[in-house]
Amino acid sequence: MGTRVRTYAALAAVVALFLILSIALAACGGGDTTTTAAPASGTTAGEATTTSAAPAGPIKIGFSGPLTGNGAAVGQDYLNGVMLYLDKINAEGGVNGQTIEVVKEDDLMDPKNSTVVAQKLVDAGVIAVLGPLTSGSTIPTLNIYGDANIAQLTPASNPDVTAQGFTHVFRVDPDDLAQGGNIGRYCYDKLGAKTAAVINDKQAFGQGVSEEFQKAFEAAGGTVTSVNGITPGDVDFRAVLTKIKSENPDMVYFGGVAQEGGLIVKQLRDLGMEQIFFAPDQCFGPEFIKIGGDATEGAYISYQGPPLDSTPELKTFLEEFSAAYGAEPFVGQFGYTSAQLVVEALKTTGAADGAAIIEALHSGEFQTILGPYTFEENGAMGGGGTIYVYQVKDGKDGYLEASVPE
Amino acid sequence: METLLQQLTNGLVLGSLYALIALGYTMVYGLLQLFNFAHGELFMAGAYVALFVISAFGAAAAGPIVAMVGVMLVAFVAAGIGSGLLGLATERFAYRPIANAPRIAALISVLGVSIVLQNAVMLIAGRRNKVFPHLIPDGKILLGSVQITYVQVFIILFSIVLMVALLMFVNRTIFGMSIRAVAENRDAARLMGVNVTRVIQLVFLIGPALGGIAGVMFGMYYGTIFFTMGFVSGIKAFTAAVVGGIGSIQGAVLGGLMLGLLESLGAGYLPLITGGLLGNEYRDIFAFAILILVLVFKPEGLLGGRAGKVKV
Repeated sequence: MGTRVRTYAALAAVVALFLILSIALAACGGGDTTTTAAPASGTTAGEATTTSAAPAGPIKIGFSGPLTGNGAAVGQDYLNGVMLYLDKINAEGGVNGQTIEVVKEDDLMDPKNSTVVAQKLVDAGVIAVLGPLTSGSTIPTLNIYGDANIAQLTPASNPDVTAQGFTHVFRVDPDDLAQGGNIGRYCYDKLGAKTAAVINDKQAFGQGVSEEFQKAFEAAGGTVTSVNGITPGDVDFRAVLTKIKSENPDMVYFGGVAQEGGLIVKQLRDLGMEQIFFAPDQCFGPEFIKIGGDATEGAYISYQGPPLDSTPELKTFLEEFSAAYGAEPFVGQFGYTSAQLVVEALKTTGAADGAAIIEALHSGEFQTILGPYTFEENGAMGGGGTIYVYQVKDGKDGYLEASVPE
Repeated sequence: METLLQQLTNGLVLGSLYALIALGYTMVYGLLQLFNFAHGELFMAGAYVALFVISAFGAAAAGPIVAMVGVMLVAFVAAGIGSGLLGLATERFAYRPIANAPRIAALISVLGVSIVLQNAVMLIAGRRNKVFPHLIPDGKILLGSVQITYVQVFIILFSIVLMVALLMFVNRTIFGMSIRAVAENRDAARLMGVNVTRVIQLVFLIGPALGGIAGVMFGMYYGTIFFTMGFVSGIKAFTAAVVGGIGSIQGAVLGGLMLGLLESLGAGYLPLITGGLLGNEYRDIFAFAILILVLVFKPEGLLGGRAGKVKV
């Protein structure tokens, strides 16, 4: 190359480098924007700081959940529940004289993003975080929030979430030992299924809950004909389902999320398979029914929450939520409850401090729309174990009965 | 045995989809020695365009036969035109300005188009998966113990029709002859009076149009479309085209069908073959391992020969 070209090339390289650096620096700031791909800021924040008492000004609570992508329906509904309660609190003047500010981050229920989000929220100075919402995206964030002494309230149901020795994490619903275990027995005793084929998506939640189901089902006397894995993001499951068809089980249990669940039940019925289809809580709600269409009719779903017309508090919540967001919630009640827990803990301690909230949550009993809550030492929900069984009827989740642990 | 037949049927349908998409890759490569990485996104865009047009008509799946055929026609034509126009735009703005630059420039350029298209659809249509109507009433026919849905039958038959039509177009029409001429020797074709630019445009119209139609079929088959669907399907179809013999139309068809069958059989029988060591989720690894083997022993692909010509 000639000297002139070389100079231009060098100049172009410098300009490009400068642009890239400035964009990266700009991306590091800001809390409320939804992330598209994992930005570079994860490594630049340095040490996680232990939060001391927040300065006077709004109390910051973080939210980490899927607001876009496959889990968006769940994340948005959960967040709506959170905001319904916190907007109410703020309208009444806040807590201890301070208003609450919610720092919302989109983690796409992917551990690659949730860890970056965790660092972001720690840097933003939140004293408590609601989320992440799935087990796979929660477990890697435990040490980030734990080191910063931030109270973490999550519905992530895999038992590992509370089995790692962290004291800052609280689970706001029964775990998968309960969900899988309960349902395994239920299918054998109540539904009369003697053989089952298991499909799971090989993620923390899906695989965990289906393994618990298998243990309980076999302990009750049933036989699992095969355990099959699928890859999330895939759309064609006919090959796996055809193989299962040749095994002729009484039922098919699917551990995974609504996107794959809907496609699987659709392709299952397309293949002429009439087995009982059972899916866990991630398939609760309208998304599964939308994707699976008519094929979802008659499918059983287990869920950690009771029907929304079972208590006066829930009925009121249902009315307020529908009025505010124009649709009925399906997981929003847990978002509302976790927000309630944080605010009640704040009222108890009087101090907007992560460590104080953690202690308050461990030692108190709190009233929420889902009933009284206490937490065990490892953060598991106290007395949790009742799982509610629903069945899809006429395009909606119809409540069947509660399944109580033995 | 019935299971095997069912798996083969499923694989055939999947393979037909891959084959249709692979055709677009193979034709562009045959003509320009360019891997059009934007093709997967053109496939995806076709599905979205069709969905948009159908929704504007307030369409339903079942109904009197005329309405059903009408809606399908609208969907396919809209997808074909939409993807075709996007293909032409790709040619005009991402290829032609750098047609005389080294190949690598064009490669990066179409990669850029792919990213632009994917994000454009995401921003316009949203990130959530969209429900796609079936367009054909749900129903099954029973061949022995093999269940085939009407949609599956339609996909297989329509794909055959399209592939035969393309072969006849390339073989029996003057346009097809000009495409083959430009593929064989561009300068000689120009000397013979062929308008090379028009031929290139034609290929960038037909290939993506087929991809768009495949997009509609994907939507009908799975009932859902999403803005990342072009990525994985695109890579698989591209691989299928290479294994079948890039540049060869029959090669694309063969490669696509092979891949579809391998995936189906892999998912169905892998645990059996490996004695439980590998589960069904390894099916992609299984399929692509076989494809790697094919390329190791026959790098130009199964039906490939003289590299980079549109052959029949």
